[in-house]
Amino acid sequence: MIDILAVNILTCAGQLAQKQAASGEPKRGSRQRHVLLWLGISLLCLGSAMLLWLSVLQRVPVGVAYPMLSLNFILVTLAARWFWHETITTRQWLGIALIVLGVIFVGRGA
Amino acid sequence: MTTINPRGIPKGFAPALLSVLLASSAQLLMKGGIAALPPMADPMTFVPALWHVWPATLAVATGLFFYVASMLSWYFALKSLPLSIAYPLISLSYVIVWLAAIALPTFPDTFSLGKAGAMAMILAGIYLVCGKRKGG
Repeated sequence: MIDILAVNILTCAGQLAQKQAASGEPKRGSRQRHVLLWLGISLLCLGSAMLLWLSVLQRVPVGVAYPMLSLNFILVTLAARWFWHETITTRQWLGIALIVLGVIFVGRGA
Repeated sequence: MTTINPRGIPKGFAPALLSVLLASSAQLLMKGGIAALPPMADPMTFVPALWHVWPATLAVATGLFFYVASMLSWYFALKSLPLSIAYPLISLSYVIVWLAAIALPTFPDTFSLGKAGAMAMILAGIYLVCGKRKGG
């Protein structure tokens, strides 16, 4: 359980780091250094998330693992709002809800 | 923030879709490879097996390479797309992997109406997040 949560947080952090690499403004130093630094951080986060996820899938049934992972769609959307001040419309939240439900059903082997 | 190219597809969606396609292929390759290997939780048998069961190792390695390529493509997607619009596209990989599992003999998965319904929900969700909306 705790390791699936770690996968969630690492994936979310990896996405934020990648967004920072792609769209963030370097505080100091060159643009190139900024991109490499944040891409490196995101690679580290996403890489370890993936390894952890693979080991989770060998032990935890997808019926439990998929619904947990689908929380990421909510987590990343919230993070995009907080850190990047993106506006999330009701229509978007509705879409996210459908995606999360869909993934849960996929995991349950609907 | 999102600019429209001459073909009417908002900039950033092409690399985003390429990234999802690469990640889905990576997932299939790794799934197939890892299934042929002993549990990773036991490194004493897992690591030596990497040398003996080499087609599986090759599949996992190719999968890893695709993953890195997918990340690179994702970087270009995020250059022009907001994270909250781009990220839900990743759920498309559930649909791609499901279709591949039905089509490929290596991953036995049969078609079921329930699963098709779940996939339709995901697609509808993506449409709501990324689809054209009135007034921008």
